[in-house]
Amino acid sequence: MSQTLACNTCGERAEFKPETVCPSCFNPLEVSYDYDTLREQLRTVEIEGRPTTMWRYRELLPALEGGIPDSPVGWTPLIRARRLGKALGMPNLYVKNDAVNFPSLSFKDRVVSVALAKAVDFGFRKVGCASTGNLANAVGAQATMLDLESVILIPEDLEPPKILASACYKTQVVKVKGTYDDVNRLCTELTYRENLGIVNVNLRPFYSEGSKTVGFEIAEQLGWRLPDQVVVPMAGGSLISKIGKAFRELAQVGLVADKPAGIFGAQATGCAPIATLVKNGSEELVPVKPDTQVKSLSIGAPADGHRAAGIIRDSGGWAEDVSDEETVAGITLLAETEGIFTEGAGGVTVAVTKKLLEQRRLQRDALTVLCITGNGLKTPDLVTHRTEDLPVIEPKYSSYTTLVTNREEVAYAGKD
Amino acid sequence: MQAKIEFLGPLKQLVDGQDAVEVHAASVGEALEELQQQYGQLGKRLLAEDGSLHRHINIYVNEEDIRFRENLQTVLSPGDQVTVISAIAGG
Repeated sequence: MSQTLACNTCGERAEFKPETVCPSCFNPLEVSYDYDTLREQLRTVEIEGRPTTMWRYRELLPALEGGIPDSPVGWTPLIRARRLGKALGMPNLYVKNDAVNFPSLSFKDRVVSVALAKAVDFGFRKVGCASTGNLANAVGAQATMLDLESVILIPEDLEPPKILASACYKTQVVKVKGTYDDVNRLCTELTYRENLGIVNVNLRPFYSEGSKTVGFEIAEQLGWRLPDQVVVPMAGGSLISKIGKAFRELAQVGLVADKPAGIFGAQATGCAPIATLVKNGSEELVPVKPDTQVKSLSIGAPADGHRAAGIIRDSGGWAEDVSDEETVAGITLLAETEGIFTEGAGGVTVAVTKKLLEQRRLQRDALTVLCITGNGLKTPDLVTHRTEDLPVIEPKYSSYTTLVTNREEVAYAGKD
Repeated sequence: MQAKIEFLGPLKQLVDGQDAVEVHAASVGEALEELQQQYGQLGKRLLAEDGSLHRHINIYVNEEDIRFRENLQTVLSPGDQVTVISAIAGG
């Protein structure tokens, strides 16, 4: 068997099964690949001829018994962000825009595509997740598409727009009193008491591999080369870790030239256990009780926190955190410059980029990719102030000219 | 203080496959020490070299993570439910 589950600490191997921890040492299990064989087999030209979905990288994703999903998940735009770059003083800036991912408008569609394919392989009829919102939408949508029963557990204080779609899919939404970390604990317990495939618990080794496709796509869309720097939002720390793994794997199998790619992590100050770990240089992560409006990053006890911090340090990158006010400024800056409306996590990523530039942690001229992972329509509360005090006019041309045309003339006159 | 300690999933192997065991201890740390007497490998598998809890293990007392209380010094009261569970979840 060319793929196995392997413990990333003691090295013990096991066949694919719905389990997340090594039975010997209780460290995380991860999918392991035969890179030597893949180096012989994989060619960029073959991948380029495949359908434009995340499954074009199938050899570097968990092997499936039931065939490759035909749902067009992934292959989101990589935008050359000239206007944002000008505003930030970064002439070589790109945005990877997973705010338009299919079907539920976040990067979580990727991980769920893998997790549910494996859930079907393992014979689960019912799947579920612990979620801060985006994952709930992804599981709800894709379980519906696959005719799987599903149950979604969320903290009770999630933003209503984020659970609106989940409430419409064919799924059961359960609000839990407590934080995301409380929901997570309950879901872990559920996997041992019920016959459930929880995507981010017992299907986690497979689920998390889906995040690598963000990194694969970035490299392919840059013309099969790695960026110099990438800035990634961090909640549980899985996405940033897997983007690091993706870059390593591409070099390992010869699809890109190996080069250093600095990996930079972004968190909200009200929930920044990983950024704190990186900045303090400490060994042990200290969990926190989240206190931020950026709910999608509100994981106080991140499962991949140590791993994420290690990958950031090893890459020569750094991590930072920003206030909710800076986050809102980040959301509006991206919207005003690139026409991309992102959620809180995206605002955090833009604002942290600005902060890291000011600190000279990020190189201004380097080819830099910002990972925008979710859609602004899901977190309108952060920016509703922008809709207050909008002008209202009579339906008359004179009213329009008084408000708009004359104002423009004044503005143009001022430019001369 | 009598408390029930429950082990979930693969962690059950630490107590010979039992779902739960009863202990008499004043704190979580004391409870683990007591179990260590009975189940030789338990301490080594749950605790790091410096005696702190292994980073991939979470312990909850009545559903609350002991890291938000007094860690291994968290005091146990009569009837407390202690759960030992893998931390590799979520995100």
